[in-house]
Amino acid sequence: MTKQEIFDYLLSILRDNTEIDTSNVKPESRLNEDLNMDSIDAIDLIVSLKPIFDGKRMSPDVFKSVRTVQDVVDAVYGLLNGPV
Amino acid sequence: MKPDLSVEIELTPAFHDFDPMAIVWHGNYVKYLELSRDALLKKFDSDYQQMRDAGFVWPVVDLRLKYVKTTGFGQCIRIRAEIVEWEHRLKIEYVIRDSLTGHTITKASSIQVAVEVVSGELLYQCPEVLWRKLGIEVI
Repeated sequence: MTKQEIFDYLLSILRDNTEIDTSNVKPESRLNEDLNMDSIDAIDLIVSLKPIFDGKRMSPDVFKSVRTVQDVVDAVYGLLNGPV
Repeated sequence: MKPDLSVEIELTPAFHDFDPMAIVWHGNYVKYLELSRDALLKKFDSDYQQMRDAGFVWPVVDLRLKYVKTTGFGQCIRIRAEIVEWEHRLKIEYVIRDSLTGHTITKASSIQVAVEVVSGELLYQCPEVLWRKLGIEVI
């Protein structure tokens, strides 16, 4: 998956599962401050993203450090393309 | 083989659980869910005290109920609880049925997250101690 495809998938999840107006979501949008997501929403997001993880497990530390939409895209891209 | 992560309990709602319409007050079902969840976690040596001893607490962060039918006085009900998610959060699904007819009375689900006692921090992944107790292989 390219980063653009991950971004589009992430947008579709936000559109289907949250009240967020995705027309204004940009890569630099902050999950907490701009999208009003709380820590429970973040766990929901990991669960929703899991189908594209290809059976790999996202390290909780990686996800703890994400702040923006682009951070999430980079983290998923890194998981899918990183060293085994 | 996938382990059986479910349990069933049976109870007859008490006199004081009924509302003026002579049916179980909707709020009381939350207590019945708790009783079944308690039995479920005990089955896997993971009740609240055992988890606290292991260093984690499990607050409920999401609860959904759908009331399909009512429960009348003297009616015996059977509550089935099953763990359906355990990796990043503990999600349990419930079905409450009439013990005699098997008709569905209530459908529900709850989500709990793990919080580390020492740090007070919410964990983005359930602790491995839970997986071991559920009999799920730790990757």
